[in-house]
Amino acid sequence: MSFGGKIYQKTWLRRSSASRKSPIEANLSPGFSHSPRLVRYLAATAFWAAIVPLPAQQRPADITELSLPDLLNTPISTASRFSQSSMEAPASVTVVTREQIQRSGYRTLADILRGVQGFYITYDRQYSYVGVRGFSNPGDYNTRILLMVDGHRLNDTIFEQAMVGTEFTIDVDLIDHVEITRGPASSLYGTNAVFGVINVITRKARDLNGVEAASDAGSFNTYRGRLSYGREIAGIQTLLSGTFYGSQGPKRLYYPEYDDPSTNNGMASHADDDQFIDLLATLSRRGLRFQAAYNAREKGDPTGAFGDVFNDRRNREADAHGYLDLRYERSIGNSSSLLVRTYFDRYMYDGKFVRQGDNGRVLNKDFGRGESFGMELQSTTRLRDRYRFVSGFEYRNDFRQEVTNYDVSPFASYLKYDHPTFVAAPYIESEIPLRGSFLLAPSIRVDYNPRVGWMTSPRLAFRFSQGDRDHFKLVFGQSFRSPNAYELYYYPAYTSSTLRAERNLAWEGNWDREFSRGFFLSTALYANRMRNFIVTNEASTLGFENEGKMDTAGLETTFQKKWLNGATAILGYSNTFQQLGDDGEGKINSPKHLGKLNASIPLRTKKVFATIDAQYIGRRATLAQNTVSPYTTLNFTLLGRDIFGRLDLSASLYNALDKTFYDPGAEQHRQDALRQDGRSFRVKLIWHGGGR
Amino acid sequence: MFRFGLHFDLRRPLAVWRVWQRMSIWIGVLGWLSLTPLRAVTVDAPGYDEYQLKAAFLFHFAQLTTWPASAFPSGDESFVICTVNGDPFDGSLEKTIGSKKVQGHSIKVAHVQRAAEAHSCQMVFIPALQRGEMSAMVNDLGNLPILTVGDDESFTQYGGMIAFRRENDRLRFDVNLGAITKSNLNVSSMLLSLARAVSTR
Repeated sequence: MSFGGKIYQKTWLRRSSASRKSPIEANLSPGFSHSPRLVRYLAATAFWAAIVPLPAQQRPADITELSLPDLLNTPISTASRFSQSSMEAPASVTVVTREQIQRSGYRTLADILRGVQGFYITYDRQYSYVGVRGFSNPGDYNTRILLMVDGHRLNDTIFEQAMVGTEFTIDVDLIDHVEITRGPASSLYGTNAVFGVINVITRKARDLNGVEAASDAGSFNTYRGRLSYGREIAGIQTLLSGTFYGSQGPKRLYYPEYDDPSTNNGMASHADDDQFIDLLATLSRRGLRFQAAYNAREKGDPTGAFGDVFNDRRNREADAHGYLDLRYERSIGNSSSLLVRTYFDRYMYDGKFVRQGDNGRVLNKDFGRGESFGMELQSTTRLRDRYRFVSGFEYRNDFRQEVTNYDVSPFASYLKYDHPTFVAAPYIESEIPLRGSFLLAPSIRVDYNPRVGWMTSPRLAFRFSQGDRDHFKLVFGQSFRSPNAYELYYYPAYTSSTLRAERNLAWEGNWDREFSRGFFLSTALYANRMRNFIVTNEASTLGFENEGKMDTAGLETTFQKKWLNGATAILGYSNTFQQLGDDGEGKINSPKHLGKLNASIPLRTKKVFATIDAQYIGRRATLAQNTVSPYTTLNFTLLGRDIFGRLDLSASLYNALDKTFYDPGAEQHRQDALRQDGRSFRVKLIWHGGGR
Repeated sequence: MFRFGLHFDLRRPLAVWRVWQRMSIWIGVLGWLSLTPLRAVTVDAPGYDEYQLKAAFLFHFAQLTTWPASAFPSGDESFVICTVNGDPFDGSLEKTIGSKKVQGHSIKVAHVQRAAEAHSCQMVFIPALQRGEMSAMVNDLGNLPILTVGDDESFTQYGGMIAFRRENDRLRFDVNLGAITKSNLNVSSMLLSLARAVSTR
C-alpha cells in the first residue's frame, strides 16, 4: 500500500447571515434501500459459482526457471502490464498517465478528474469540488475524498479539503501519473477515504535529466511559467521545480440573481482573478527520500458568497499549504521490507470578505491555521512468495487547529479557537492466494481520535480470473469520516457537541475483460450506503448535524483501446440508477448519467497527436429544487513533440462548441446555479533541456 | 418482490413499476454473470506478461553469452543490464531477474536516457524506435563488448545483435552474428539454434 495521505478539506466558513437554503421536501417513500442485500446475494452467487471449479493453474513462481525452449513456447498473456496492475489491485482503479495528460491538454488535477469514469467536477469560482459516483453535496469541501502526493496526505487539518483545482499543490507538468481508486479505503488510510483515494505520483529526477522549462498562455489573460531541474547530484537524485501562474479571469461575469442597480446590475467586473505559486523539491538516495512542497494560491470571489457585498474586489481567499516528508525504506532479508516515514504539514487559510454593516461596508477577516506532524511505520512480509502481509502504525498530531474571525473596523471578534487533536491507528493488510487464480485480500484499520473515539474500518476484497481474459473482483468495505475542526467548532451556537463520525458501507463488483491485445472492457456495479453524514443544520442553516442518509447504486462501463501506432480511445458511461436520500439531500448535484470520451490519434509521424476529450454530465437537481441542464463539453488538443529541436508545442481549445452550462450552487450562494466558462484556449511550450 | 417487504407501498401502482425497473438492472447483471461460463475454465499453458517474458529471455541471453574479461574492469563488477530511453519493462526487469546472478556477477538494472550513457553496461535493451534512432543508438555503442537487444523486429538489420519478434502470442528472436563477433562477444550454439534467423552481416 502507499502511505500517508489523508485528505484536506477545507471549509472556510464564515459566519454569514445570508445562508438561504431552500428546504427540500421531496417526499420520498421509504424503502428501496435494499441494494446492499441484493449485492450481497449477487456477490454470494458469483462467489460460489466461481469457487467451486477451482481451476488448477500451474505456474512456476519464478519465470527464469523456465528453459529457453520453454520460454519460446510460453504464450504472452493478453493482459498488458498497465491494466494488469490495476486488475490486481483489490479495488476499482484508474490510472491517468502523463502521456494522456499531455495529449489531452489537462490544465489542473480537476481537469484530469473530469475525464475519470464516475467522477465529475463542480466549480463555484472558489474551489473545484469532486463528485464521485453520484455524490457531491453542495457546500461540502471535498471531505470524502483522500488526496495524496506520493503517499503524503494533502487534505488540510482544518477543513480536510482535497484541493484539486488551481489550489492543488503540484504543477500538472510534474505529475507522472495519477492513481484513482474508487470505493472505501479507510481500512488503509483512515478518515476521509470514503468514496475514493487520489494518489498523485510525481516525476523522478532522472525523467527530467536536466533543465525543463514551460510556459503557456490562454484565454482570460492566463499565463504560467515553470522552471524545473532534475539530475543526480553527488549520488542524490534531485528534482527542483517552481511554477508561477496568473489569470485575470473573465472581465465581467453576469449573475441574474444580483441584477439590481444597487449591485451593479448583476455584473461582477474584474473579480475572478486567480494566481498561485507551486514549489517542489524531491531528494532521494537509495531507500531514503525527502520531499518538500509548498503552494500558495489567491483567488478573487466574484459570486458574492456568504452574503458578501457583490462586486467588491476585496472578497478574496488565499490558501497556502506546505509540507516536509522524510521516508526511509529498506528490505530486510529476502522477503521483508520496512518503511519509516515522518512528516510535518502547515496549512494557512486567509479569507477577506466585505459585508454590509449598519454604517457602511465592513471588512471581515477569516483565518485558519493548521499544523501537524506525524509518523508512520510499516512492514511488509512475503511468505513463500505467495502470501503478503502488511502491518503498520500511523500517528498524526494536529497540534494546531486555529480559526479566527473578526471585523476589522469597527473591531468585533466573532470567533477564536484552537482545538488540537490527534490520530493513532494500527492497520493490517494481507493477500492470501487461495487455489488457482483466487485471491483474498482482507484489510482492517482501527483509528483512535479523541473527537469520535475508536473507529474500525474493515475491507474484504476477493479476486479471481477466468482464463487470461476475464478478471473479477468483489469488494466489501466500510469507511468513515470524523467531523473536522471546521464542522465541530465554527458554529458553536448551532452545532451539537456530539457530532459523530459518518460511515459508508460499500459493495462493489468488477469485471474486467480483455477482448484482444490492448482492448479492454471494465464494468463495475457498486452500491454505497451512507449513514449519519454531516449536513448543514436544517433548522438554522448554520452549523452541522448528523442527519444525512443516502443510498446510491450504479453501474459503470469503460471501453479502452490502444493501437500499436500510438492511438488510444477511452469511452465510458456510468449510470447511478439509485439515489435515495432521506430528505432529498443526497440527490442534489447528483447526475444519473455520466459519459466520457477521450480519443487520440498520431498524425503522420509519431510526434504529433490530435486528441479529443469530451464529457457528458446528466441533469442535476439544485438546492432550490430546480435542475441544471445536461451538457457536453468538447476539448481539442494538438500536441507536437520535438517540433523545433527539443521544444514541444501544444494548443488546446476547451469547451470548443462554446456550450453554455451551469453547476449547482451551494448554500452560501445566492445563485442557485453558477454559469461556467465558455470557449477558451491555451497555447503551451515546453523545452526539454535534457532530451527525452 | 418479497425483498421489498413492508417498505413496499402497494397503494402506488407506479411504484411497482419503478421497483421492477430498478431491480431489472440487478437481475440482468446477475443473469449476465451467471451465464458467463465460469465453470468452463480452460487451462492451457500459463501466460505471462510480455515484458516479464522478455526479462526472462534477457536472463537466458546473458547466460549463453561470453564477455571478454575487459567487459568487467575491476573483476568483481556486477552485471549491468541497461534500458535506453525509458523503461518499457515498467519495473518488471528488476522484479523478475534483479536478484539473479549471471556467471557469478549479480545483476544490476539501470535505466539511462541515451545510448552514450550505456557504455558501462554489459547488455543494453533498446525499445522500438524510429529506424534512424535505432541505428544511431547502435552506433553510439560502437564496438564495445555490449550485447544489444532490440524490441523492434528489424533491429538486427540496423546493426543490433538480437531482435525480439512476435509470432502470434509467442516470442521469437533473430540473431545478428556478425555484429556479435565484431564486438568480441561469443554466443553459445544453443542460442543460435533456437533463433528464428541468424544473419552474419
